[in-house]
Amino acid sequence: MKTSLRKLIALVLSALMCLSLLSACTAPAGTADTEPAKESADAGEEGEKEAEAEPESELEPETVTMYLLGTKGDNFDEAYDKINEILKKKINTTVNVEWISWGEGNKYSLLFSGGEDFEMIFTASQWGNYETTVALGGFAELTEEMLQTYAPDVWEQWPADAWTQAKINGKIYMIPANYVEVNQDVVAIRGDLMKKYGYDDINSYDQLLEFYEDCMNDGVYGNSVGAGSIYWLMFEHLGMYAVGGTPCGGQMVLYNCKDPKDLSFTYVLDWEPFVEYCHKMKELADGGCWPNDVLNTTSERQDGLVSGRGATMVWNAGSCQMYANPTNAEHPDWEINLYNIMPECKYRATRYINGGVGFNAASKKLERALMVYNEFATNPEIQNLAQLGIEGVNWIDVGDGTYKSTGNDFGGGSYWGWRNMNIMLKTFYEDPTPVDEKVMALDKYFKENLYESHILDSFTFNPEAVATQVAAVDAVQSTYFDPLINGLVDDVDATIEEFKEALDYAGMQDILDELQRQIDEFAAANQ
Amino acid sequence: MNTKKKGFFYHLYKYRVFLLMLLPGVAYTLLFYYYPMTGIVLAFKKYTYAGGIWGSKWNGLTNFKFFFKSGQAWRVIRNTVLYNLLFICVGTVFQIAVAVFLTEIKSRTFRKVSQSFMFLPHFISWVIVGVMAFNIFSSDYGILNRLIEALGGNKIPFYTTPSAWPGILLFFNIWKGIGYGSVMYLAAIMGVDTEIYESAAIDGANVFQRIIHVTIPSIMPTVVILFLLSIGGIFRGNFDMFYNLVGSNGLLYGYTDVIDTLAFRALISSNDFGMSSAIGFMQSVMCFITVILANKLVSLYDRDYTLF
Repeated sequence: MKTSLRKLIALVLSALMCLSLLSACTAPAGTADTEPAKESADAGEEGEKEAEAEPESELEPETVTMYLLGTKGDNFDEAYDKINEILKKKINTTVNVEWISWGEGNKYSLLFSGGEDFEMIFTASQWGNYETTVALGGFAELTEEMLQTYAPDVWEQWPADAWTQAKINGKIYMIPANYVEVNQDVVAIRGDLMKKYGYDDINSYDQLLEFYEDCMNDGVYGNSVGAGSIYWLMFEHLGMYAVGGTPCGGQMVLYNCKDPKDLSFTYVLDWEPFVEYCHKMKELADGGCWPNDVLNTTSERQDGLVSGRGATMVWNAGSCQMYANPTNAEHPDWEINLYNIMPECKYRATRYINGGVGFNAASKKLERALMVYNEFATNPEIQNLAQLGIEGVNWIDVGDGTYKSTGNDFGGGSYWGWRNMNIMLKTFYEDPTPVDEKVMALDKYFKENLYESHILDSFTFNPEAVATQVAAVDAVQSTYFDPLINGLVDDVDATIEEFKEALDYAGMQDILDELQRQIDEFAAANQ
Repeated sequence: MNTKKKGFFYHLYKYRVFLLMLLPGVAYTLLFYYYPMTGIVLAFKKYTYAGGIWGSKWNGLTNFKFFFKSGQAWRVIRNTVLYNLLFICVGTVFQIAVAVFLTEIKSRTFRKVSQSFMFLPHFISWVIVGVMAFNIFSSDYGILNRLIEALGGNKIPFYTTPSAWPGILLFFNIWKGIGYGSVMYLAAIMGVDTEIYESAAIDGANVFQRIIHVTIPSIMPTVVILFLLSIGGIFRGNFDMFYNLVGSNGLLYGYTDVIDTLAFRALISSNDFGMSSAIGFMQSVMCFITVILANKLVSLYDRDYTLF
């Protein structure tokens, strides 16, 4: 009896294994093919029924799939149900949203290579795969005619700069959001430590470094996550900025944004301030201004300040505010506030292409997708639903183009692809903390002191022609660059020399030559 | 004469049940090992989404260039091979030792419990191991440095000391693989005829003599075959391990960079399918050659020990 039971169990188990094996063979192919088709068929039927009831739109019912980056917020489905009601009435379309969470960035390119059925996807220059996807032919080209016909309001309202920035080799492949902000990095600093070391204010790069030395001598980490963000402050306070699309996140090739006529670029390894900076950072690192394992840490920019291990954090005002407020509430004696260490400078607005939507070249519903974008970007009702959630549940309109949170934040509603400054509501501060006040003051100050735009602000390097060299440089650069800018190498000058040789071997000169060629071409086309 | 005529179809019918049982395995192998191999063509193509695997344009050997242009090709190949040899040799010794000890343990409970504990690390992902390592070796909160400090010593900055890493990587590799790896040897030892042990005992052999003269020679074929199988992956760095333990710490690359981590760094920002395939293809070819050579060498020694 016992053995026959065992036999039975063994039989059932092996049958199950075979089954699961077979299903594993067929499942991926099956689902990929049938599911979206089924969904759109379902939606299509629904659409037909509703279309009979709602004769306002003469268009065929259609479902448009849109991929967003991030994770779904709490009331997301309710808000999108409302959005779909509006879309149904106006353009007889249902939007089906899919997500790529921040952790699965590789999925982005797999959507294209795997032939996934979708119409629109969030994109952004550099950090949102815009250039790489265009290089692989993933995005459909958007002609002016198409934009005028299917996204007329967008075409009318969007500034010319937005389209210039979106162009790659003279063609547009994304609709950028109509949104620019000043994302200038500021420094959140512990007030109690400033008092202790005798500072009333910290308002220059040199003063910040002095403060770091004081922290170091006191046995406190100046910045517990290292000098990666201080490097940006270094060249920005000298009026330089990263050339978009160049290797190493642009950090190795800078242009002079103070002078719009200056179209030259600076290769940092030949730049005296870079060498000085590396020496200074070595001094700070050796003295213990940050832990010597920063290159391996998984800490984020705010972690040191929030936990009390570090005296500062460097990030844009909004992010500093997000962490400074709760930390102050928990430790009132820390008196953290935000400091602008480059008050004499002019500030840069972000580029329009810092967020936008790209359209799948393989999609057959491009026109409808453009119409959907037009609604998201220019219909205030949809704009608010997608950004803030449901009025009365998640937020309250308090007039004057501002809103107040109900405390039940919508959260996680990725809306950066179609933000429109003209119609977005602004945050209303009911009981501002000193940090909030500083943020508002800084925001105002930054916007009053924007610099005259530079032609290279809109330029993005296209690495296609030198792909081999770029890959080789990418393989080499992290061996030297991060240790150097965090002051962790034994001999700064020797390492820089070695770095230079390694980059030369990898073909850096070819990249710089190609960059010069593209800049000349770009300048000629845009002057 | 008639038996000769009973050809293919006769045998197909005669052994239908066995063949049917074979079918899932064959289907699995074809689908997941042979069919994807056609993707090798990508190594010689300039991949575009629109063209896909078959429609993209050929571009000769361009995809292979970046690896040699990086100037680090020799270094990463050397590291990959040396690390793998180290892991295979030291790992095998430890795994055999564990298997032998386990079989010699008399208490059944103790044997089962200790085996389970040794098996556990196999189920921990390298991501977790990476975090554990950071919490052991970091300078502020690392257990090891705390301990050294408490005992009055000076902290060791592990994450800026490249020469410490071969040892650390070896330790984690052994620790994680020992339970899983010893299972094969345990099985092989179980297969040894117990009569040999009995007669050895009668001849007056003690435990150590039994191990050295009976157990080890009996499992030698298994050892050689497993060794040959591991040699087949000698040009593949264990990306999960190296990336999660070392991360993007350039200071350690001299001692820790392997082919896979280099390729990852070079291609992660450009998403270049062609170049990634080129690296994978190159590794496969090198592994293939090594395995053929190693197998040939073994066959010179004893044909019974070879894979094919």
